[in-house]
Amino acid sequence: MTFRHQKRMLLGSLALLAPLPLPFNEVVGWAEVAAYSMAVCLFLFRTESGKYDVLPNWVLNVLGLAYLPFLILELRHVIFGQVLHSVVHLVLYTLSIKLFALRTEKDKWQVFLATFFLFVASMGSSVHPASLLYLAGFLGLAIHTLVRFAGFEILGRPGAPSRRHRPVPVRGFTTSTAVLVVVGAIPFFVLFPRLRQPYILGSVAVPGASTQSTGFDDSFGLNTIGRTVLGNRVALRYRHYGEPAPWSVPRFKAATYSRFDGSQWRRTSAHGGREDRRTDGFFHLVDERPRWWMDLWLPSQMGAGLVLPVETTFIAADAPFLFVAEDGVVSLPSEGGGTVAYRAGLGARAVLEPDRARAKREIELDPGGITPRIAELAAEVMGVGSAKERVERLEDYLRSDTFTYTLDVGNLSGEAPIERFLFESRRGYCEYFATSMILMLRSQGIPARLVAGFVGAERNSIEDYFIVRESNAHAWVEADVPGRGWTLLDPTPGVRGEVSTRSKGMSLLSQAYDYLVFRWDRYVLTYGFSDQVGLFTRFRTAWREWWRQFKPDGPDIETPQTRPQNTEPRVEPLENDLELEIDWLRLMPLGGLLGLFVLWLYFRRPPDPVRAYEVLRRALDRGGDPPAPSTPPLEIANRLVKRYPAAAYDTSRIMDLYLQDSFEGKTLDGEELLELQDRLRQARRKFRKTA
Amino acid sequence: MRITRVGVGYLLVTVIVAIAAVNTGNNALFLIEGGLLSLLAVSGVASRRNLRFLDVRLGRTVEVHARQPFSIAFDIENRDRWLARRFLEVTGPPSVQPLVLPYIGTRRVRRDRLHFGFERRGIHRIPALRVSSIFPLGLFLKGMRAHTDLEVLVYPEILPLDDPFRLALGQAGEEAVPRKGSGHDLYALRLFRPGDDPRGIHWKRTARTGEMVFMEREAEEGRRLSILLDNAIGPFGDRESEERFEHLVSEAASAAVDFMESGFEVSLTTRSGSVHSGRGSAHRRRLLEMLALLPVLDFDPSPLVADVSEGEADRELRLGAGQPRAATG
Repeated sequence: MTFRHQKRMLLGSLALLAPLPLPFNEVVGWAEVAAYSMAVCLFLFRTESGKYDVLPNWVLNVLGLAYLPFLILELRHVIFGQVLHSVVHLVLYTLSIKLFALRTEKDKWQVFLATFFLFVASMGSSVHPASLLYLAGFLGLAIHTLVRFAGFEILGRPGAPSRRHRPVPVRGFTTSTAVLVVVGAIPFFVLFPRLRQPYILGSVAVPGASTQSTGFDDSFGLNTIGRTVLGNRVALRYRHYGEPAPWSVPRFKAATYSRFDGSQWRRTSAHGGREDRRTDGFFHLVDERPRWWMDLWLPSQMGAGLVLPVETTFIAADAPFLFVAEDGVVSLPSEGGGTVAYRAGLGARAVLEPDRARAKREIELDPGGITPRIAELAAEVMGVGSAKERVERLEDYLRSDTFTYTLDVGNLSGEAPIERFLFESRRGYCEYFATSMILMLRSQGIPARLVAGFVGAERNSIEDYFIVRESNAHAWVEADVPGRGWTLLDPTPGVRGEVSTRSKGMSLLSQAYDYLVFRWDRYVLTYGFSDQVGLFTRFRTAWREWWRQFKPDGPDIETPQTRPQNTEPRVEPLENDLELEIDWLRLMPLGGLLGLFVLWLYFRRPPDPVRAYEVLRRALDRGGDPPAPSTPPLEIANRLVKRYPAAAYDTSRIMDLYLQDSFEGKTLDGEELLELQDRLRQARRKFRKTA
Repeated sequence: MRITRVGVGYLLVTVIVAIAAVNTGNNALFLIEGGLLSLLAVSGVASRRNLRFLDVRLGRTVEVHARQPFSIAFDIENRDRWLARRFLEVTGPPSVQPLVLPYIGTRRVRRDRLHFGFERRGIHRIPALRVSSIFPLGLFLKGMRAHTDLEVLVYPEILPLDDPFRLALGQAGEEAVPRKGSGHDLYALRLFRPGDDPRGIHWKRTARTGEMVFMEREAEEGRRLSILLDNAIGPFGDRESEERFEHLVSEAASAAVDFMESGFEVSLTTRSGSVHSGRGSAHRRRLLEMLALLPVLDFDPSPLVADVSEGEADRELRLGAGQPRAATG
């Protein structure tokens, strides 16, 4: 197999692998990647058949010109921030052609570079943990290719054995190197400095990074939940501290809706509201001390805002402020599609008023969607008595056997769906029950609103956290019951809100997979500035603890070092002393310099007499008396003495050591090498001075 | 260590990815950057290791002439028990032809031959060879000095003697007429006569025939060449004169070697010394060594006289300034 054949096969394989994740990440379509892959496969097939196509230059020019109109067209319709699509299209097209025009070494490296760009685009737009496999695979192949290229270069030099020489075994080396590189990349990844506010030059929209959306939009159709519960994606992960849990069924609120137009709910105001600043490191939603704490990880803060337990009183989050909308929805100012981590302090009961939601009463009494038949039925069902009794009666009515919970609602999507649900089909899911109840309450003068969120969770036994999936999506009612205040009502019969603890078979596999995804989200995709600060803080604490061991007034061994069990855990707000920690970041350049110094110590060259001699020759050259290649060392020494008299002793001594080393067959010992180094330093200083 | 063009490109890409990562805050790019930096570090360690635990040994030199390629046995041993050595290139001064060693297994010795070619006669020293490598990724060229302490005495170049030159010296185109004498070669066998030296009896033939057989030997006086090389012709004003002198030395060496191979006894006379007439490999080496180390002396107008103590030579080759070649039969 010739070098040319091997080079082409390696480049083709690399080019075939590079864009693989792009269609998964929605950067380019499957059709484009399929066409590109076919071209690369054709290239590989023809190479394997021994046909080394090289397109002539004029064909390349024609093909380049042919793409120009398409490029202009694409750029004209491109959405700002999505230039990546056009660039990737261009690179795919160019690469598929360039492979058929490999002539020189330069072409080879151009193809390699274009392939690397596709790799960066693929990785940069990937959010799935499988991208780690892609990274390792590409890395392994790229290392193998580079090693082979280096081998081809050296075997092409004079003095190399015949090209039919047995190939050099490098597979084991490349495999172990790839593993070492992946392992070695971890400290670099962790320590490479992040900026708290990136986008120095402007943000870049990465299409694949925002594929997960767990919140709810500003508008909410009657079949939104019906579609959502069919999904199985993770909407939220959480872990709570303190036993027992404050609830039998965890309930998370994502958004509230007050205006109904007969078929669609809308938020009161997506933009009004207030900003809450931190006090004591927390955002206080109400003045009630939390009794439990919960860590939450939202895969992406899309839609309305943060998903919070209904009992939330405090929030701790990595943000200077948070925004509380008029309808009580809480959102963070941060952007991006990464996982949002926050901590919630929970009270003993659901927090529904007054600070959390400042909705106006008249909005909660919006008559949209109320028909005379609905009002009539409401009056009939609720009857007379106290408001509390009337509301309970209505809730009991909707939860009775008269109605059936089902996701198959038939043809309710036409006109007046709620009326048809209440009087004809009596089959539906949570949105129908909740909407019916709200309309009936409003018809009787009781303010009410729809709440969208999640009920129930699945416990991940691998790491003892809980997963809330899309299938846990639910809608319920909040009503301002006279004499009782805002009350949480759930009229849906047979709510599935349960905490699942299955840990067998596929469920265990699913949990293991979720654990992997969770870790990937948490420690790779969303690893950032605050994590680095936390890392340095932990390092500092550990250092202080360690250092304290050596102090005379060390730790008291009687002092219990472990946290007592079954007590409320010590919960600290996130980033409570961030400003102080930033000072520690100043140590990072120092650490970098220290690392460079260690590298220098490891890689520095020992003093070499030949190198010192070359320095002397160069000094003479720079001094305007260039020596000929045949000028012997002693003449160099004489000329140096004349040119640089101040450095005469140093140059003579260097020359003496050089002659001993190179012509007298003597190996210089350590002291002589140190002297050589010192003399060379002195000579260089004097050369500069004389110059 | 020297960074290669591929290495420069790699560092450039690393910097660009770092800027892109910091600017976008995209952790996937940080992951790539980590991979690039890690690969750089692994490559540095591997390339450093690739040049450690190597022992280089050179064999003995044989007769070496200027402008005549020759090779020396070359052993390189990888003492590392874990990692093989790859893509090594052995280089030295311009007189050493580079040698590429693609692979040396762990604890293996690779035997090869190192090819040399010296332009000039004299003593050449090669204190060290340079073993370098671009392994593993071709980003950096790293090297080490392998001390060899090699000293080679290079004899003058051997030129092909042309026929006119041989004719002038009475070697080519003319058979030497054999006659009786007291040399070493056999002239004829005859019956032993009284007065013959008993040391000349051919005992084997005597035993076979039963009669005393005597060996007559060939006279040697007619197969002797005296070379006179005048080296008091310096100092040289230009390179051309120097080349001309080197050419004369080469002619002297060529004639000496050629005539000795034809059975002649050859003597050499120079201003720096002389070698008496003789034959055999030791004599040839002595003669070539003298020519190899022959210095150029300051110009001396007095004639160079042949120092032939063992009887006059019947052929004489005079080489010197003004008259590059003068042969007498």
